[in-house]
Amino acid sequence: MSDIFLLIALPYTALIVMLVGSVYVYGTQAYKVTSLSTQFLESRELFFGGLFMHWGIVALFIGHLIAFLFPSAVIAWGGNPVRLIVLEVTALIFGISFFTGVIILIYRRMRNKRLHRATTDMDIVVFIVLLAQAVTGMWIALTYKWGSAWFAAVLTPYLRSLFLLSPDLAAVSAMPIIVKLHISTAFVLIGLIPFSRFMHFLVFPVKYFWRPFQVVIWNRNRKLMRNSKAIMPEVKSKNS
Amino acid sequence: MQRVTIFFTFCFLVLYVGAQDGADLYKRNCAACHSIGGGRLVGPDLAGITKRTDKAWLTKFIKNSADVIKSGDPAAVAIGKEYNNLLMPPFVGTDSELSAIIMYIDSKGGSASSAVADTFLNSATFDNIVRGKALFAGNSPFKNAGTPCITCHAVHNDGGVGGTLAKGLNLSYFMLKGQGLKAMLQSPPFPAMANAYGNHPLNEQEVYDLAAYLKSVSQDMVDGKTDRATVPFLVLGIGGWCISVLILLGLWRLRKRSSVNHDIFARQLATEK
Repeated sequence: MSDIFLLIALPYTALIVMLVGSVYVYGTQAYKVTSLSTQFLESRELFFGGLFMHWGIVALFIGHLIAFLFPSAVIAWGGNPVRLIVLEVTALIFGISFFTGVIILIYRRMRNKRLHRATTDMDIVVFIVLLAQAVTGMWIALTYKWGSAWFAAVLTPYLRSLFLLSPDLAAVSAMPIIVKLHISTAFVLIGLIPFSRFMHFLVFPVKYFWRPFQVVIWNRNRKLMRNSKAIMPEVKSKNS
Repeated sequence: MQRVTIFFTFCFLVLYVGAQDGADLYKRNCAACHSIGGGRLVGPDLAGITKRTDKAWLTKFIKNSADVIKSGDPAAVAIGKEYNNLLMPPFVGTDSELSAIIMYIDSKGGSASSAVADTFLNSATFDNIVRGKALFAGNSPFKNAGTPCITCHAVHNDGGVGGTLAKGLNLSYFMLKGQGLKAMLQSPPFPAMANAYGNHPLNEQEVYDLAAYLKSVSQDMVDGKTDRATVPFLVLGIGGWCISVLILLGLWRLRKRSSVNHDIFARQLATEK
């Protein structure tokens, strides 16, 4: 029963919410879609956290996508034990990178009070889901080896059956519960796309995937400006 | 309309006649694990089973033995225990096919022998074992492009790189014997494995080589433990991550660190003076 909920109902709900939600958000608030950068509030920790997290999630997303689209190529690659382990270690490195990035970003949000003003409830939900996904993913990689190869052989048929609208749980229902959780959390993430900052990667022109990070800069000295005496010597600054 | 009716009647008859061929169905569905009067293999000898048990119970058990055992039926639990709790794959055919099989077993008559009739691996050679090892580890690919066993299974002499998703196979031969290994490899009752090899079945030679290798693995067992390279794997991951961070820190050395463009600011100050 829980299998039907976690592996059929939830995925379809998430996909429908994602599709309909994205169209709705585009239609009603297209110009408000933003990743709401807080880089001008805190820059240093964001640099490390953001880069580790994004490198990790983009690489892992593409990796999962390749195993879904070209399962036989992934199985053939894993046919040689050395190649299999090289692939697994590489994936684990990106996993660790993603996990570290998420931890740095959560720590940054909690530590910097000024960021609390720019943090919504949805951001907290997204952090929790991302952290859960990182932990279950690495857990699977370490305890149920070798994921890259059995994903292609066992999970790809299930995912394909989902997209062909005739879900087949035969193989996936025999998987350990942690794998099922990882799958359903992934679909939760997809469902959250239209209502969270995730939406930013769907924004036209879709170039978030390859564009370098951007830094907001000022051509003025903000500290000097806060002390308004520098501009109007006779007026006492209210915030100094 | 008439033609369509004739066509469908014909199809139905072909299916019906085909379905009734109990001997053929028996061979395809049952013979890998059972004999009729030839002694026990993976499962019990089926000679006279129709006399010994109730047909309704037998049908239920063949359709899904796991459910019957789970329901606590004492006879089913006892059979499960006697055969190492190895589940019989659920029967996927129709009811008429199932009754054709039962009729076939009934027609053979005879009485069950409890002798173990496992001669499958008697002619296995060292070559079979070597080939089986290469197939297991993925060093030589399967003809039908199946996933190598090592992806999910570990054995004690795989150098620690065996997979940990599925059961370790150190004792597989002692549990299954040759005939059982053959049956598991040919038509696995485990859903994940059945799914993985459904479109990439192993051929007869591969099944034989793998079974020979697994027999040698079980016989070489010393302490029952399998090396699990989880810690080295994690260390490699963390080490690799540290190295990549060092490289990136080098590349990011010249990044723009501050939110103030100091060059422009300095120029402004200079003009003001």
